[in-house]
Amino acid sequence: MSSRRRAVLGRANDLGWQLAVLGAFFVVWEIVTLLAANPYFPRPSMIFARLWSTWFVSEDGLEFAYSAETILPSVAVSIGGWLVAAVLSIAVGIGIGLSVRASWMLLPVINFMRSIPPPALLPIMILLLGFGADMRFALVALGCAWPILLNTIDGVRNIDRALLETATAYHIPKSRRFFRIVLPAASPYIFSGMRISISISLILIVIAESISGSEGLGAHILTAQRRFQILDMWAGIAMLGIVGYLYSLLLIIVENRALAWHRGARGKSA
Amino acid sequence: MHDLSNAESISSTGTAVAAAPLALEARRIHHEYVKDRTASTAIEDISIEVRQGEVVCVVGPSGCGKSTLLRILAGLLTPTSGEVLVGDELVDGVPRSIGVVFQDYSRSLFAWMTVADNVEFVLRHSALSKSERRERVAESLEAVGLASAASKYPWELSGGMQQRVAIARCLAYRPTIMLMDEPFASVDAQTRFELEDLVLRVRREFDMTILLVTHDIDESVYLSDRVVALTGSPSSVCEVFENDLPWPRQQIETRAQPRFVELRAQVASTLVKP
Amino acid sequence: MMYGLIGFAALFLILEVTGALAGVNRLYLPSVTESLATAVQLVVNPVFLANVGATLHAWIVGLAIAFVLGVPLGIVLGSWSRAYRASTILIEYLRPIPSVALIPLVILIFGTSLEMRASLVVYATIWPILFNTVYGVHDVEPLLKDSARVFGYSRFEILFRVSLPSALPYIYSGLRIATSIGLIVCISAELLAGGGQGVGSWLFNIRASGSPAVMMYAGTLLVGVLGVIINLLMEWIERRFIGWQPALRGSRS
Repeated sequence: MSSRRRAVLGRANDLGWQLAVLGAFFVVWEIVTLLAANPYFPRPSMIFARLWSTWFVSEDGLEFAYSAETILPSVAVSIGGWLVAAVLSIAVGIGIGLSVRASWMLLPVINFMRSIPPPALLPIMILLLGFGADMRFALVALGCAWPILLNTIDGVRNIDRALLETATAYHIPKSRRFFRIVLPAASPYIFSGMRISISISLILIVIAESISGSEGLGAHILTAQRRFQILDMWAGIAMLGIVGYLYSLLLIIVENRALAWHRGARGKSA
Repeated sequence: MHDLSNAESISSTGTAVAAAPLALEARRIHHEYVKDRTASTAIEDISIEVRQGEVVCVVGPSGCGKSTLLRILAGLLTPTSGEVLVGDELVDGVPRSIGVVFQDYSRSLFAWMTVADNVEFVLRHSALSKSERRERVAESLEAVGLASAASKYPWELSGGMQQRVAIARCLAYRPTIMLMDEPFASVDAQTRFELEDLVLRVRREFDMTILLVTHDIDESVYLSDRVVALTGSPSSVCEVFENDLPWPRQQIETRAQPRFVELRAQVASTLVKP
Repeated sequence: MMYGLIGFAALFLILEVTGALAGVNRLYLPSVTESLATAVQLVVNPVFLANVGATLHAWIVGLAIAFVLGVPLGIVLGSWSRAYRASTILIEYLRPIPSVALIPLVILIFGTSLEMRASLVVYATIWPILFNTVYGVHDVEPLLKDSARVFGYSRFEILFRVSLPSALPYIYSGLRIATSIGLIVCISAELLAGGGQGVGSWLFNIRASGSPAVMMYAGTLLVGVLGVIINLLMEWIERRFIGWQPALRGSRS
């Protein structure tokens, strides 16, 4: 799945084509909203003008303060929670994955935890931690942990036994074995778990902020909605879209560097 | 016409075939394809004649455009210039009289259909009744020795058996010409021998004209009435060998004959040039 | 299976023992026994069941609409190369937008109704379905199509007899992703809407209505059970109907 996506991005990499398609999309959007003249659906040109003046350049010079108040907490908490979840899940997941018995015992438990739709955990988190940033952080970390944990265990369990036996045969020490063999060999799985999680982190941060209503992009969107400031609401949605796009871009770049060997090996065998 | 009982009497000899009319003819095929905005030539100039009842093997090094040639002969690909004739008709689209067995059986069989359904797939457009179809499927599977595997799925079978299914599928279609694209490239040596003999038996029993593409010189000499040797890319015909080895052929005996060794050396010397 | 039970039992023991030793406030962190007992009561509680039903209703309506729209559109886009190129670019850019960002807008338009939640589920789930259909139909093994062409099948027939069946595992894996995303979005919308029907609203309103916190834990537990049931069902359907696909056997989406 992921390798297909990257292949397609490469194939469609013709920049002119991409710009033309996106341009056409915006033109159609503009025309449709112009003709429909529905107050709930403002024209994209207005949305992006508002987005620009809210977060990038405005006349009153308050845009940086506002960015610091909205974008920064959203990004910091979601990426922070995601990273903490990743570090813990990878460490724990490798431990579990290397032991056959532990994976048999814990996989059903982990699968159950993964089956709880993460937003359903929000009421409990509010009960325990209140509405602050620590609650949001904990919610994101908790929601992001399970997919990474499951994929790490899968990845470790699917390591070619020949690799580990080679390491034993050549008397490679344990620590080197961990960092040079187990971690790289499981990394394609780990990355696919991290990709699932990063989109969950964005979903969770938006909901948590909307409900706490004090800071972040989610709060911005919900406040605008409550005050019927439709244009501000759309600008917030568009901004979230940009953040989401940057997240996936970030992940693709990291993956392309970390997993270059993986695609090379697969490309050759195919 | 396809009566199995007098199969032996049809068994052909080189001299009898030479007088037969042309079944398939390629005239001055030239093919270029565009990749990354530059045109590359896959086939420089190839002309081939196949007479009715003949087995012709096209042999050449890997990547010399053999598969492209076969796709052109099958009507799947239109050449940049040149023409293909089946009988005396110009090929435009895929002719009804041609059946193809592809190299990669694992990718040419339908994974979601049973073996029998895979074979029956080619009868969709025939005027046969339901029972006739079932009979045709059973008969085709019988001919390749897979009658017992009818209700299995392709991925439950070994590579050699999957390639038998592909051959049965082609037989059920009742083409007069069978094109085979490196059909035995990915099976083990033992299975390869069995499948080669299967092809020869099928040719006798079903009165088939066969063009087989391969990179294996021994195989081309063992199977054919004629060997067409291609040069590397872009490819063109470098030599045609009339193969006068006696029929019927036998894996051990035929390959041990001095004439076999001689022919093999001749073909090899044209392909392996300094 | 045996080991799984041991795992659950161990988790149960650890939570009970540490909870008792640490002397946590049971108003906030009820014991597992208590939560399980409450969960058993909730399973036959008509109000809770009605809310779960409301969530499932919106979820299934949304999924069905997304499927009916997404698969045919995906087939068209996937089998027509110009549209394929254009659509993959658009999909790549639109996919990362988190669907929950649209919740406020949809609440504004539809209120807290079934339509609100169903339309959100449609928006959120149509992407994985569309995406997987487009790629599945487009990336059909060329040899399969060649085989069908050789044996006299037309372009149109090949689309339905070859491309579609061979894309089916991909379409199904898109649907599987969609089922979990749909549930996430549905519950999110219910949480944000506050009032109205659905298990999300029910969970969120427990404290406001003065019910004990243990209800919250029991409800969340049951939502997890629901998720497990849905997953098992989807896996069973996959094994039962598209088990022929070798690539899918033993892989996780």
